[in-house]
Amino acid sequence: MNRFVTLIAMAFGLVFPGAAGAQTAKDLVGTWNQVSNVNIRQDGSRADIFVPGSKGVIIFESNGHYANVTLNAILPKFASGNRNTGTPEENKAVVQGSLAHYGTYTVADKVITLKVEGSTWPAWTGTDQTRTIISFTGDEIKWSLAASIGGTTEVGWKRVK
Amino acid sequence: MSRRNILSLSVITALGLALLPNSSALSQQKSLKEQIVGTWTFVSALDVHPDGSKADRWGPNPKGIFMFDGTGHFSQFITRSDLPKFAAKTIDQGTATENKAVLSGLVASFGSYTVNEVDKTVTTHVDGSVFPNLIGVDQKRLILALTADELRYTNPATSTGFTAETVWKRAK
Repeated sequence: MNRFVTLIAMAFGLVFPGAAGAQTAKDLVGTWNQVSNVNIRQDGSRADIFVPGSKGVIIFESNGHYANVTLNAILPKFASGNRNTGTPEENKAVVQGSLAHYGTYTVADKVITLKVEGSTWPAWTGTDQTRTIISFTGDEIKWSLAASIGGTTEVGWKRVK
Repeated sequence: MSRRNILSLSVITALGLALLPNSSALSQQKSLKEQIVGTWTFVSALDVHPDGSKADRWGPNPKGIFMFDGTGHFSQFITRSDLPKFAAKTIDQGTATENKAVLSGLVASFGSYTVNEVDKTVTTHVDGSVFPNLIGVDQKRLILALTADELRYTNPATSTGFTAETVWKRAK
């Protein structure tokens, strides 16, 4: 009987770690490409932010550091060729059409906590931002967050091989 | 050989290995590619003007990160530490002044990288950047120093049009 119980426990243990979701920071380590980004407004309407031309990468390092750059459109090149001298329209297009931040991260209870050290959205700098893991399969992950444009955003990622 | 002798031999061998200056010898044998992989935190970047004068465009206490993963991908972020928080609550309501402050005060990019062991260069190929002009651009940096703790290079063409000398230290 005892052996039978042990076997059952082993079977569950072997089968379910992957399906149970990302439990530790170790599960996230690697480089991920963004594959979806949907904003859910306060009124419940959904807007697909990940339009053609969108791309994003997040790298989670094994020593607890992360960096994320997401471009939500094909952004205009600056006519001046200089980052310091964008026109108001160029600056606006980039600030509103992108999001980049970096810092350190931890994972607990299916929540990723990002300690943001720098960000294109200055309100996040110096704060903790959380991502609630909706699904995780080892090579794909989807999480939700409070969006920088208001409402909630669901973001999907695929591991880069 | 008795068990005790084997134990003694093991201890002596372990001591001998520990005493060898193998850590520095090993790091010299490692390729630049092997040494650059990991996370680096920003120390400084000085623009070098055509007349040879140097200028710091990142202000007091700049910060940033440069990540090189083991499979050839990088992500980089350098920022001034005095960027203004927007008066509005959402990112799409920044004023012209706030938007400009953000974009002239930071750079964030990702893409792929290659290391040339002979030329001692690391070249990033930018796939995405908050400075759109960098997208698709190869940036070659000449490595001046690469140790366990420090990475120093010159960037002959920065996003503000100058040559820059940049220093990073390995993130713990």
